[in-house]
Amino acid sequence: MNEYQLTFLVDDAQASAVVAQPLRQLAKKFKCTLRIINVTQNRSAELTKSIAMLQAGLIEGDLCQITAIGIDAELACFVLKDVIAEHYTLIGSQINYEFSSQLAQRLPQLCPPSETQWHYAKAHTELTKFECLKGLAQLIHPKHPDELILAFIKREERSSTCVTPGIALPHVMFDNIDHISIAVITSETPIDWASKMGDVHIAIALVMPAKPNREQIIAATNLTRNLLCDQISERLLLTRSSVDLQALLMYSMSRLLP
Amino acid sequence: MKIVAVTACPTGIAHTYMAADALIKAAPKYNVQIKVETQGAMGIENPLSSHDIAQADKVLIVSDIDIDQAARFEGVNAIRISIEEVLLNVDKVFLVHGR
Repeated sequence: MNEYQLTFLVDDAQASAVVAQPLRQLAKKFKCTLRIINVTQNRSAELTKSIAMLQAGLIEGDLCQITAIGIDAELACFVLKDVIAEHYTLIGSQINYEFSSQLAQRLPQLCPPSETQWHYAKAHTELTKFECLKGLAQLIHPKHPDELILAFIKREERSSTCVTPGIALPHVMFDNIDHISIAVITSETPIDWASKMGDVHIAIALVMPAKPNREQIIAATNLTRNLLCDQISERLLLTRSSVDLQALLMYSMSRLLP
Repeated sequence: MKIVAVTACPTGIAHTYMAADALIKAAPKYNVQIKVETQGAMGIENPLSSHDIAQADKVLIVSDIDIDQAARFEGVNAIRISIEEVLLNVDKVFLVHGR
């Protein structure tokens, strides 16, 4: 069964006290299982429990999700959205928000330390690994993707870039660019990535300048190292909305999780 | 048990640091004292001295490429492991080499 999510940032730790009671009462009205997950602190609790908000321990700057699984999950998220938006910074609160470089302007607190271009596509057909790499290159360089495709393939020939179950991270350094580019392709059907770790559902292409500065390296390594945190890889794989997905990635670039 | 390790990968932004983190996180579970040198985009960090290498019970070279300053490990019984092995199952690495 599909999981639905609300993703939000905490900018006022006091809000938990106000919001705990109404959230719990609302949560009880639905049949689906509602959880609150503090992604930053790796803590979670069932929302119907009276101490849920305490267990989740939201503090300022934390990135959190409320997840719903069950027959009325989508409705539950729709209803809880208003309560959350009133007290926290909801990430994807409007239908026309898309995966884009604008998210950095809208939510400066998520901003990674260096300029990053973002691209996203959802696979609607079954993809092979090559098609996926080609798609990623086309997202980043729509006019001249060939060189980038070649660079990706060369890197894959060395060793598979599947870094954690379900997630591949093709990454290359590239001449003549001065910013980081990230392209993401998600696929519901598994992609065979020629890795012992198994198939891939999300491919995150990371293209760095040939001579990256220190900030760019830190942003990139934050992202890669955070992928080892189980809660980050789990959230990336389950999160449905592309804006929420981008927020998770941006957040992972901006700091190293404990 | 004391282990020293070097991690390196072609681009030096992902696998180098991920493998190092994985090793450092898992080491206490197996009562292993570990020092990991990373050879990545930021250059050589946390470098292993000849003393570190001499004191270690095992030397692991976790890399898909030739590492820098490999001469330090001449005459030492260094074990080569692929990055994927560490990311796939770090426990197995310690079970095999950590005792």
